[in-house]
Amino acid sequence: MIETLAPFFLHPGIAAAGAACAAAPIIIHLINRLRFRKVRFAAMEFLLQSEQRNRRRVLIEQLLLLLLRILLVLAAAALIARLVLDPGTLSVLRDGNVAHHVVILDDSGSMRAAGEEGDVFESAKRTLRDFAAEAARTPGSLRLSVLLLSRSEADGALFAREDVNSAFLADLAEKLDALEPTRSRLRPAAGLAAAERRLAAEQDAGERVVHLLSDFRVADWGGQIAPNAEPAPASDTGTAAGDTAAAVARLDAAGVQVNLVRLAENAPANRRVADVSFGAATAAVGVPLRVQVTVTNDADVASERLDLTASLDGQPLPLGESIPVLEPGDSVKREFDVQFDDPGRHQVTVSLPGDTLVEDDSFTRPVLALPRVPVLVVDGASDLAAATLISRLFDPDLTGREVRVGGTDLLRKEDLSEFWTIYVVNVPRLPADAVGPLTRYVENGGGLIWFGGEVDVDHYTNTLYPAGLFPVPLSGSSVELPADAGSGPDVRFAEHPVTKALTVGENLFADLLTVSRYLPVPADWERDDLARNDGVNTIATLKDGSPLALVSTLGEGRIVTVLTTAATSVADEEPEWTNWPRQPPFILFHLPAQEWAARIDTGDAVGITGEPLEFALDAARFRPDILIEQPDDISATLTATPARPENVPGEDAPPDTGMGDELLLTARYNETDLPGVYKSRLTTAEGEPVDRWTALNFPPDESRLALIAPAALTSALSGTKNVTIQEAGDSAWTGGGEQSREIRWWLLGLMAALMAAESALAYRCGYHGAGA
Amino acid sequence: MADTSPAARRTGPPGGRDHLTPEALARIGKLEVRARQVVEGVLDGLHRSPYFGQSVEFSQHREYVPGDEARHIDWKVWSKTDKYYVKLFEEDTNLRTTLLVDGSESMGYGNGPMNKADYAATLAAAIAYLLLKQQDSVGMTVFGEGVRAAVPHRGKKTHLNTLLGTLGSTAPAEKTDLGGILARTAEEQRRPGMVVLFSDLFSDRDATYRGLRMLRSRGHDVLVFHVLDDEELDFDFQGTTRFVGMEETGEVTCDPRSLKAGYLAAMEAFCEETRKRCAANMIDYQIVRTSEPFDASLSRFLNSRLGFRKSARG
Repeated sequence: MIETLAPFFLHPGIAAAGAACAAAPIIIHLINRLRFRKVRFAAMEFLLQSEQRNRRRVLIEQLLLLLLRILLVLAAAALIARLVLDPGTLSVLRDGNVAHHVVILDDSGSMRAAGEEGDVFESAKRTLRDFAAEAARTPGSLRLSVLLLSRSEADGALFAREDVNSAFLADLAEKLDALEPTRSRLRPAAGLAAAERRLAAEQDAGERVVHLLSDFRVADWGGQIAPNAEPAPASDTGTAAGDTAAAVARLDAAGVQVNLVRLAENAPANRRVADVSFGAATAAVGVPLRVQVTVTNDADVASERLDLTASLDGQPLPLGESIPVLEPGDSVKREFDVQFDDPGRHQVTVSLPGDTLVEDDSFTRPVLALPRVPVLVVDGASDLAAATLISRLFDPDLTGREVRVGGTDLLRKEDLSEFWTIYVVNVPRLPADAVGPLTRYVENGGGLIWFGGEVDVDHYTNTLYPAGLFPVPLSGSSVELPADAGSGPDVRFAEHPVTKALTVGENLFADLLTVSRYLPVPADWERDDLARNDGVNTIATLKDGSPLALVSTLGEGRIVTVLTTAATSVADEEPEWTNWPRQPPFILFHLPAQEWAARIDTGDAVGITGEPLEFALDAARFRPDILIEQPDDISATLTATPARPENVPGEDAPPDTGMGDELLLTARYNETDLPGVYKSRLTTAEGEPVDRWTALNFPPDESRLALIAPAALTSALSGTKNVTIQEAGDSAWTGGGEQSREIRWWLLGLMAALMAAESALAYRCGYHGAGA
Repeated sequence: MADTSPAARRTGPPGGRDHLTPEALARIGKLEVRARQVVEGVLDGLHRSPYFGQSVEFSQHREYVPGDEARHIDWKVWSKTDKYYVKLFEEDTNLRTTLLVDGSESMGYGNGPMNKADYAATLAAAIAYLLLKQQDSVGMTVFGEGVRAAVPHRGKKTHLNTLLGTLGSTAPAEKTDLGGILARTAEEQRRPGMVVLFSDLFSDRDATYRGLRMLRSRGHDVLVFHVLDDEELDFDFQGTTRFVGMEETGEVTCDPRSLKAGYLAAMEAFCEETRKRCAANMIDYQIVRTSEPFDASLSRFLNSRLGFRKSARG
């Protein structure tokens, strides 16, 4: 019977019981007929007359009364059992069949955004509780799986195909109470895909419904933003939107009903510290380090008087920086200096006053402070004049650099990895056994700065250029810049961090420079960087269009190349190549160039919370044990294992370290939900500790809280048949939908009418004075 | 301090009307005491003699003297002679009154302190007491299908004991053949007198009306006390009830409320028809509820008898 009633009632069990109760008026009537009072009566003649005259009327009235009472019971049963006339309206929640409902809880970072009634994730948990409580009214008619977006990749489920009953509700309440949203960037598409995999094997098992409980942000769905929401910034929105809509479409095509439950009505205003960067990758003790802070206003209203606070290793810094007004969608940068008293690793944190999403109101970046930053200047001339000139530019007390000057033999004798930047000045030809170490040095992140002079063109073109150490081929020995090569100054600087100080005032400093000789590149060498597209960028050109300074990369390292000399003169008898070394712009070039080209592989990094920490260690250099200290001071130990020889589908590929056939030990640390600095300690084969700090900050894509407009969401899902969208605050779907409610009102009206009719008839059946 | 409890009120001194209610009289076991209580109570309430015009005959005129009651002045004589004369009467002790008391089973119905039979017996005893007190002769017949008990006419006051003894010893039983009893009484009582009938009249109606008409045709004054219980008149039953006839007249199981209107209509029609038939034959007809105080019933009887006599004599 329940199966028969199931298509029309949310609670067919109650409907069946109600149908049984319809017999109650009949039974009561029969009992009354059997339980009568016996009276010996004298005036029977008149009673018999009355009975004879009214027999038919009384019979009809009693039958009618009985019918009305039965209908009243049935109407009440239909009301409680939630009659829905159209079985199609039971698409969201229908009992009777053992339907499998999969609820996907979005526990991404954006769900932490606070609203009037707690954060969005609390709303999601509340909705899930309500849904389960409603389903538990008909135990056995529904199975429920609860997935978390954060576990969708691993196909893990909070609950898997559980019967919804009172025991389940207690278990659910306990788990939900302990559940908090992550700080990770998570995509709904991954959760929908996990649900699809979970339901794939149940095509013939009955109704399948997927409920996605999320905030439905533009960052996840793309399309037009909701009214009064923040503007959509550039992000991975397009890809995420396509993936999510495609995942919904796949479920729809597979016959799965998809119920998209919007939990956020309006996007709360949100500001964030978008970035903290340093003027140099490394800092020196006692030398001020420039800190740049970027603050972005993602809200749709301007923010006023944003006071920035900063801390160094947790100790507040006297900052005093304030942003008077930050317009919607705008970003501003502020700079301040920080100075380190002790060598070693430090962390700088910059914070904003807390708003609706406090996790993105702070940004942390680690920095390595050295006692002095070692720089090597190798000079090809025996007098080391150019090297000495350069070394004088780096005053140890002012710049924190410690410059070592010497001949090319240093490239063979010294451990190059100790230097953060190496100058090669006026070296005609590198020693043969120095090319390899220098190449590896750069590939591993070292910085290299070339200054030309009279060089062995063949060596540079055929050896250093193919190795990537030198960025351009040379067409011959130095040439003179013709005086009539063009109008204007001899040198033009392009916009680049290296030339930043030289390009102020529309190349003001360029007027001070003259270049008479330089190393030419072949005529057929493409001058246009974009057309050439070889990773080499020209940052200074001569007035005849020939390149003068270039920047390039090799492996992890950076290379700055200047095709003229750094010496005041190559030979006494020859005219000066350039007056640059004698002019102020010289120092304005060297300091930024050294900063830019300096080793960036300090072992420190910045990432986003939720992303795992990956380790790929050279087995010959490191032991497999890795000690990790989390931001909350909890420590964990990892053991790196040999990497797989080849990629396995679905598995992460071993990182490409460029180490050829060397054995790699890899490890991954996944407990990275807390923002802050994760301190990893590696141990070399010799037992020496090597620290690497990684600062994980809140993902920018989770900070963008703009919601997708309902129309845009509908448009994105056009073509789907089994998709319903629930607006924020509308919880009627947990009880069976709008149609059910409409029937409810009809039933209430019917019951009122039946009760009125029953009362009227009962009144008529009884005796009343007026009629006597 | 005076006791104002309901019990004290019910047992208060004679003179109020509370002691004439069926509830109060029902507690008096002896019928004689009941009858005397009723009669004395009624007489206390009357302003003139109940005997006047009923059991006295005109004797002669005499001239009016101060102190005579004005009501005894013969105005016809005054109109002819312009003098005041008063009429003098002498008592007639030969009025024969026959009490017909229904002793059938249906008279045993009643849910109050008295059933119909008790009420009828008490009322009959009171009337007998009254009549014997004025030296009329009183006879009585208790009937069912036939005569269940009969007491011949006597005028002595000691005759009251015989009447009361008969009333007290005859319990309700048998069906009713009222028409037959009335016809038989008309045949047996050749000498005109007064016939007082105490019955619920639940019998063959035509026969009943024929019997009453026959009594009138024999010159009898006929009084009918139609004794009915409250429930018979009001039909205030609740809940499903099975009604079983007391004189084998079938049974009905019903919700009384659904049949009440029809029942009351039929009862009302019956009473109305009986009243009209009696009026047509100059029969004094009274519906008496077993819940009514006796004085009201008896006073109504006496008053109506007075009016009846006046109208009968022109």
